[in-house]
Amino acid sequence: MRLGELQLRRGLLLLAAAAALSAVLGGLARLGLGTDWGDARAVDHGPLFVLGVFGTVIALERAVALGASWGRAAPLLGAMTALALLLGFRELGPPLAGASAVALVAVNAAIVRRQAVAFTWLMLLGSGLLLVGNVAWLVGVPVHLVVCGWMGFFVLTILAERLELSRLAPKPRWATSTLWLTSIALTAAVGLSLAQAPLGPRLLGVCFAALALWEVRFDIARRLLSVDGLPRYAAVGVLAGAGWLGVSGALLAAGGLAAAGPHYDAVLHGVFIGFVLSMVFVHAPIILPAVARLELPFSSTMYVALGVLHVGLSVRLFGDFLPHAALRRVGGLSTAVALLALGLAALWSRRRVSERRPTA
Amino acid sequence: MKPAYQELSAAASDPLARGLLGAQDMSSILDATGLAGEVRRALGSVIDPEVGIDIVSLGLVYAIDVRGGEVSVQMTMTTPACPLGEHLVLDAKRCIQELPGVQWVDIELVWEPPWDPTRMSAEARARFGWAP
Repeated sequence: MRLGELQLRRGLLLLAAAAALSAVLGGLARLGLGTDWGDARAVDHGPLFVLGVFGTVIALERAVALGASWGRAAPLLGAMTALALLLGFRELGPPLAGASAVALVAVNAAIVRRQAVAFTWLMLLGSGLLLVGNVAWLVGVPVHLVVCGWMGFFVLTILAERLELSRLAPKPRWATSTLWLTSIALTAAVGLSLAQAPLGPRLLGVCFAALALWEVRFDIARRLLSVDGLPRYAAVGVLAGAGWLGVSGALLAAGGLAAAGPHYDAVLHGVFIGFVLSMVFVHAPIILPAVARLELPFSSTMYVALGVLHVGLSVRLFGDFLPHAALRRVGGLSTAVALLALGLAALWSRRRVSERRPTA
Repeated sequence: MKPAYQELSAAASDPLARGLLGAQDMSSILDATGLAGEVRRALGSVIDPEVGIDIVSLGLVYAIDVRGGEVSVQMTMTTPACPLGEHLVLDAKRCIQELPGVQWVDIELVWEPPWDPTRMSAEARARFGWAP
């Protein structure tokens, strides 16, 4: 890999980290724990995290997987979306996010041409949902419905990766068929949701719950719980994430999706923190070295961050349903603490790597 | 009743597709003797971080060719859509370069024949629950 390419990837990750910090401050502001910067970014909290952080990182991972230089357009446009929101050019966010999604669809389509199998098609479908969601955002569909497209993108993208890994273990034929049928139903649910049909979010919830069950049953994570070190850590995060996907699914199926309020808060954060962020936490030691040559050996201290993430989310949801504003605030703050803990664990891990390296 | 487990991919059961590079019995390719054997053992220390199993046991190493101090390896990934390819190739190269007698290393990522679970070692297959 040329040095310029490496610097570009690291720059994109740094920008995603800045977007994450800003999104966290915006989220804390929405919980009444405001700072000047956070207050100004409160309204961008969702798009910053979803598109600026997760979207950029996933697009970068896919571009690296493709290995073609044009594929960089996807994460670059994702990073530009983040930059636009960070600098207050909110009106540029939706068109840039739309362009990033187009590029990601193109990357995934190229990967399908390379290997046309179930999980690559699923990943392409997921990126299609991101594109649909971003176009909906651009044309003014209410954000609480746009997030259905965003949630659909992340769920299908992650399930596609897990489907790929699941090939390592035997599973019955109907397992892949079931996943596909559920994903098609999920796609329909996103469409219905964006069209403001009340059935949409409820069907989406049923699909999330079904996919969570699929993960618990067929993901190789169950078999990796017995393997010391990083595989076990990743397995714990994956299975815990599946649990939260099931919780959000059940909440959606039972109650639909309100435009705001405790139910909306619980559904969204169950998916984006419990499912997506948990995956990010446990895959950071795998993806950072692969994508940006940033060695991050697994350290058992990372369990602290993962634990704070999941316990804190539980507290948040208790706060949503009791309701109890202070619990909700503590739960929300704990996500920021978990991110900080992960950062500290990463620094600790890298320090151990430096100490082990022989000096000249 | 025995469950109807998923058939292995067509490439796995097609003898032409398996070929010299895809034989389940890798002993003709990955000989334990000499530098080739040392290379194979070195590659056994390269771990796929997602599953905690080395790339030889996973069946990702298709061929090792040693001519004097020059080592050529053909390897694959479980999917051409994997972002870990670059990283594992670098790790593999680093391991081989540390071996005495190695002067030059080339590692090529190939995608034919496609990887499938039959290429894993018996131990790896047992870990993931495949019947012996």
